[in-house]
Amino acid sequence: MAARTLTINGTLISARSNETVLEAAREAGISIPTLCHLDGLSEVGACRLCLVEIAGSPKLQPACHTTVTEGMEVQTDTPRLKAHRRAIVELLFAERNHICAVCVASGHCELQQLAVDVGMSHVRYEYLSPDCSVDISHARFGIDHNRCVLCTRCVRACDEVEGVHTWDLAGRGTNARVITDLNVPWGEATSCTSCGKCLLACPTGAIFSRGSTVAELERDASRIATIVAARNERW
Amino acid sequence: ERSKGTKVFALTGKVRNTGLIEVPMGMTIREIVEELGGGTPDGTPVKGVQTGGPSGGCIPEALFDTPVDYESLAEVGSIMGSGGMVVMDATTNMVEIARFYMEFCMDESCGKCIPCRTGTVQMYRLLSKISAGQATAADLATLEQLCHLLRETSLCGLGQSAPNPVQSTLRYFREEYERLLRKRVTINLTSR
Repeated sequence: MAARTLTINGTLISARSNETVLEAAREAGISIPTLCHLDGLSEVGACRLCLVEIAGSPKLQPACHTTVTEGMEVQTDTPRLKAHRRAIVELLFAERNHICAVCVASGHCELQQLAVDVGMSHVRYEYLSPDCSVDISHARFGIDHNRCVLCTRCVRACDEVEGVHTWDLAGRGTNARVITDLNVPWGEATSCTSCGKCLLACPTGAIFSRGSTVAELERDASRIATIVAARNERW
Repeated sequence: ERSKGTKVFALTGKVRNTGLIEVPMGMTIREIVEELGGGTPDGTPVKGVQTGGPSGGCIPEALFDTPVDYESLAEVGSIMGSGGMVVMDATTNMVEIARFYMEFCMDESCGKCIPCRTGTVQMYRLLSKISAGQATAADLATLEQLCHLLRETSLCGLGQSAPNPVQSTLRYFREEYERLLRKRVTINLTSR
């Protein structure tokens, strides 16, 4: 595996030839916000938060899905990028019903952290307030669709790591929902092994363990990367 | 000159002869609308045409000597697309046109990326608000900001081109938007 030298925000960075811009940046201590990315899972480039400016390309590129090349010049923190990130986070808060005060994940939520990181002081868009359901048919877990950001980390964790593909997506656009099996209540989804990887993967309080109250839900999402690494390297 | 051969258009809207036509690349919009199309049915002046469907833009009558080819249409802010050409007259409400196309993009958005999935909904609501005479100048600014966001950050061409009808109508018919804006924001301090 060859080494590549690239420039991020004017600083020369060394990276492996198969690394993404996101990986190279994080190893160099440069933070780029993400939401749909989770170490150990495949990349989808869906949230558009990690978009960076690359010299020579008129379009913004997702850092999570762009492999480094020799001599690449990347900008991660221009005013334009900051403005777009802020707008995307605001759009998320306006899309569904994200009420931190009553949420089990409050204080340990990636969406909350993003709002802090992008400097979101208020939401300029109109709140859509859709009618979203809560499914607590499963004995151990529940899903509150009001808190879901459609990052699909649960779908990928269940499909790629647990291998049973209980979670998937139904519907289109803003009406899309994550579903279990063929849109049956989670408690009736026979493919589910109750492994809890989707709970680990979920960045918000959407997927939660039953019995936790406000602000009690803490997860270590890096356990998914640990499982994947252990399997790949045959610990 | 890079556009060779002929192009099929679906000519429709406020025009005497509607239907499918095949024209040589480089024929002007004026020739298509007035000679082939026969102008408006009742003779009222043509205001413009819309080409390219929900990903396309409007071209005002003043630019009707534009030849129909890929580069020239792109220069005036529209696209050839699959050949849709809608003729519009003075009775056509350009804000409604933008809103109509945004509704399509909103309904067709796959939902994978945040800017398009929920940005098209926000843009549709803003266009509805403007159309209903309820929007402020700040709403129009938000609409324009969303145009930039979707164009630059959407994952695919649907989100990237969804702002086209909005930006195109703002470019050539901005007064139709501004005429509908509320002039002052009133703050009601009594309880609702």
